[in-house]
Amino acid sequence: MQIKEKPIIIKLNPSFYSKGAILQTIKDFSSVCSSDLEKKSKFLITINPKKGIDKNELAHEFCNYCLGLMNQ
Amino acid sequence: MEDLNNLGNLKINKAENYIFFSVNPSIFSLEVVYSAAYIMIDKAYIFLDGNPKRSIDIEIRAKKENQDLKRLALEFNNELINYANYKQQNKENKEIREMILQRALQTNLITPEYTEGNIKDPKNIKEAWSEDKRPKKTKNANKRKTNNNQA
Repeated sequence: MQIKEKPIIIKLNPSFYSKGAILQTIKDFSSVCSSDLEKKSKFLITINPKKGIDKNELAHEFCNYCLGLMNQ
Repeated sequence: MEDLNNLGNLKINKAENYIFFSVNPSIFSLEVVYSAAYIMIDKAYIFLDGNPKRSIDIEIRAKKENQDLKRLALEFNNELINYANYKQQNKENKEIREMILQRALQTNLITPEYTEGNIKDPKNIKEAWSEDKRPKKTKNANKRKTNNNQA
């Protein structure tokens, strides 16, 4: 997993994170950020947090939420 | 990176405040890793990477400052063992569980003698009561009532 700032780009391994879980997370986080998904060798999620939202915390919570969905 | 245990698979990076370790998927399956991670996501940030067939790489980052990373990593390991054991027990008890469930469901089957058309109702209990069906009062009943009131 890699997080790059400005804007935040999260790289997630498709062997562990499904597209469905990522799309659901994007939908559920829409109130705090806008996101975009692209797939190359890994899923690339570009996140633009809304005003007042901590970038690092948002990125980490995003990944945690997505991982939580994988267990369901 | 500093080794946390003698197995050498737990490494701590104090500068960046995270722990990294690898799990053998032949010992702890991906399903078990997901279950353990699910328990830990309240306490820390968990990331998965690697190859689910060869080696599952896990990174644990603290949510709060001064959080005990070693403790988190060791807790995660314990949860892995916990869920691996649960999965094993589940597998071994599957047949017994299904048998008990089947037995329980069979005792709730309705037999033909108790179906709607076959129930006998000599006193007409099934039929709903209404004012029309109130029994008419007889003259003797009225006399008895007045005698009781006087007494």
